[in-house]
Amino acid sequence: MGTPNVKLSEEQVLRIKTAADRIVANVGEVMVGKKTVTELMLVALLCEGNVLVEDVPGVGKTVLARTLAKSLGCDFRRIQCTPDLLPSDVTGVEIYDQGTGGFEFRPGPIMANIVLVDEINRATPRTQSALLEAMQEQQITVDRRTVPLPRPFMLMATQNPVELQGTFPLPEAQLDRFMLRLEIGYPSQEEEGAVLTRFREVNPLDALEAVTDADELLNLQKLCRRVYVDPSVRDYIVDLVRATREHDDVRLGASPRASLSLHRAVQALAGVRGRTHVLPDDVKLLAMPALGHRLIVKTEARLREHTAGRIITDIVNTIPVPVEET
Amino acid sequence: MAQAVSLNRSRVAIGTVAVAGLELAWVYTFLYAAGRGLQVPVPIPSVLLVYAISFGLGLGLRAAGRSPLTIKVASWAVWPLATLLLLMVLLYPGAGSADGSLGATLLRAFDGIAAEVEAAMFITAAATFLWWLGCRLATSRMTYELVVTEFQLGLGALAGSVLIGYLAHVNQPAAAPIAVFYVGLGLMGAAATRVNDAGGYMFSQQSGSWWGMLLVSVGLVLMLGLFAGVLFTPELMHFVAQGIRALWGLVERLLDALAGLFPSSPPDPQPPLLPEAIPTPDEGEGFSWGLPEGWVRPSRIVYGIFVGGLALLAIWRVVSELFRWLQRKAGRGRAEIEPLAGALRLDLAKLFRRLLAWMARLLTMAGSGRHRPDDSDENSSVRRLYIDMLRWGAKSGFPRGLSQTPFEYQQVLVGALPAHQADVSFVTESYVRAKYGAEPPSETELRELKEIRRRLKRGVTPTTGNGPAGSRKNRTRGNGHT
Repeated sequence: MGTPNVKLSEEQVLRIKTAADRIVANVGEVMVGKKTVTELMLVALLCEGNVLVEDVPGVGKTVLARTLAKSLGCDFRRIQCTPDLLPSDVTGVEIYDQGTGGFEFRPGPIMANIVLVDEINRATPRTQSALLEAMQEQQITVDRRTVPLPRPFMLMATQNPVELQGTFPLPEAQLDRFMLRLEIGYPSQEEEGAVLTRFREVNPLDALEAVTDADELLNLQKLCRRVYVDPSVRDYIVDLVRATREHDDVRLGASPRASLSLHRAVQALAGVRGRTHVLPDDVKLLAMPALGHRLIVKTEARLREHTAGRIITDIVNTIPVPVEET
Repeated sequence: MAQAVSLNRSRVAIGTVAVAGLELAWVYTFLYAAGRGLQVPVPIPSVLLVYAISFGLGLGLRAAGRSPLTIKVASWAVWPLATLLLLMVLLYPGAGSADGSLGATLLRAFDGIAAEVEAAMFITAAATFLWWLGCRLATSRMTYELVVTEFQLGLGALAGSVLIGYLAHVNQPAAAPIAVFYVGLGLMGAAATRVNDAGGYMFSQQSGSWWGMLLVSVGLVLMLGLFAGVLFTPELMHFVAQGIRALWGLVERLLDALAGLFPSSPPDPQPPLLPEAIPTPDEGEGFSWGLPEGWVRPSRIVYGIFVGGLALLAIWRVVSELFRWLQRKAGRGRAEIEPLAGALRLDLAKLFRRLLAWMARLLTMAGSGRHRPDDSDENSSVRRLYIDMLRWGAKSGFPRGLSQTPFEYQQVLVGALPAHQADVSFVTESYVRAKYGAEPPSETELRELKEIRRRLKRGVTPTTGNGPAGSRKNRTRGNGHT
């Protein structure tokens, strides 16, 4: 028997929206014109999910991650991935302490609230795999010791989709553990001009203040899980995910973990936008970020330029939205 | 979604002539084949006259500035008189207008569908259908979609008529000229109504010149005809016909089995030369499972209408899905993907779902009076109103796509019909809260919604400052949709 679908009150949803607006506005002090991406990163955080930011160099992936972390007032660490990065460089190591005669655990950079894994596809598969447990179970195991990660925890990984020489593409199992994959995109002409003006004398990131803290985020995470999802919308999510498995161009469709991710993400998005309930529009908006990276497209379809993005668009434009029938 | 392009008067006239011609062509073919096949003498030209009368009446009322609803009501008020007159002229010359038995003929007509076919039934059913077509044409807005829909429906009906004729061994000497006439009218109507929003390379070259589009269309059809002539050899057609005949045998058996559920009426004497009264079925006969005697006749009428409606629905859906499938194969946008094989199944499933929902609602009302929290009377009202709005939008030429959310559809409607922006937005927001948030509307909202329903039905634009837009400003709850 599932959890009862208890609805949020207007006051509770207002709390989520107010906090979200505060954070998004604060990030907007540094990032120009990236409100939706910021909102979606916040959505992932409120769902205790991880984010893969995939875009070309120089569009602000790392700056966005750092700005968000600073706005949240949480502990932040950055891991710059290279082929010689070892799993122990990420998780930490047990070091022999001569004084006590025992082993002492030296935590790695993964032990933080917000972890930025820069250029994740430059790390070897062995190191990438070390992140699996952290991403899914929010704990790490070093030797015989299992250490829970601090809460809230979010891993933001970035990768460059263009420059592939000397990289190790992420395995499907790892991609599936990212709740959302986001693209930042180039700024418009006006936005790019605003960026130049804003960064002319000082880096606004240096002066940025936190607008929330870990405790508030944990409370918001709990509230977001109570955003009402009508059974018809829930069925719509399932229909979309199942359609990815039945699509002719797809070799491997989205997993049940994808359904769960999408379900949680739409709840958080509705909360962030100040609603007590989820709309099919939320599902449509998040279908691409939540499902796109989980599909394996058939080779022949790829040759016909049927990308995962196009397939998701097809599916979203095909599956009937739950609306009264005339 | 493509925006409807307004047509000038001459193009509307050409489109109307084309649609009328299409409808008359396939109805004529159908009546000819069915009449001969069932050995019922039907004076087809006289029956077709009903179409012209209905259309003329509707057009006159429209010219007088009446609303579509008024035209329909007025038209259907005249319909019994027109049908009775037709029967008096064709079957019962000399009958008096005060003779009540003539009125009973109308009921007998539908009564006979499940049991036997007679001239009165055939003429009444045909006249009713033609009356509906004529009234509909008079109240419809001429668009490319309308012409295409008429073309595809008629194409299916034409094929069905030819099939009926073939199975009943009816010689149809006029089949070839009618087919040419039919395709020509379809192309003419499509060219005249599509001239301003033509898509595709060949049509876009002719944009603005409907003659050019017509020539291009005719050229394409001739090429297709040449190809079809090479592909469909007489041997292949014979083989297909044999298959269809075998299939028709199965359908006949199924229909016999269905008809067997209802005991046949005692043989009626031929329609008397009035003023003799038409005899009623023998009092001693009835349903074997003990249906009350008074219910037998209405049940048979309902059954007849149901079977006829189901057949029409099936033809409509199959042809329309076939057309959509062709559109998808041709890479045209806007086509919702729905497997052809499931089209009729989906319709039947939808019908049964509605019946079940209706029965469940009745049971709930008759029961303890408890309602699900998300299905309160208020929520049901909002949902019904939203359905009304969907129908209104579709009639205005902007049907909702299956994959469109209420807010996406709202944008389409607001973009196309900006005068109704406030009403459409208000209804959509109320519906979204009721449907996805299980939040019933307040009393004030309900009152406003009822007022909007009246306005939409009358086609009235809301007055500035007094509509729901002003009221919405005072509301605390929003959908937060961006």
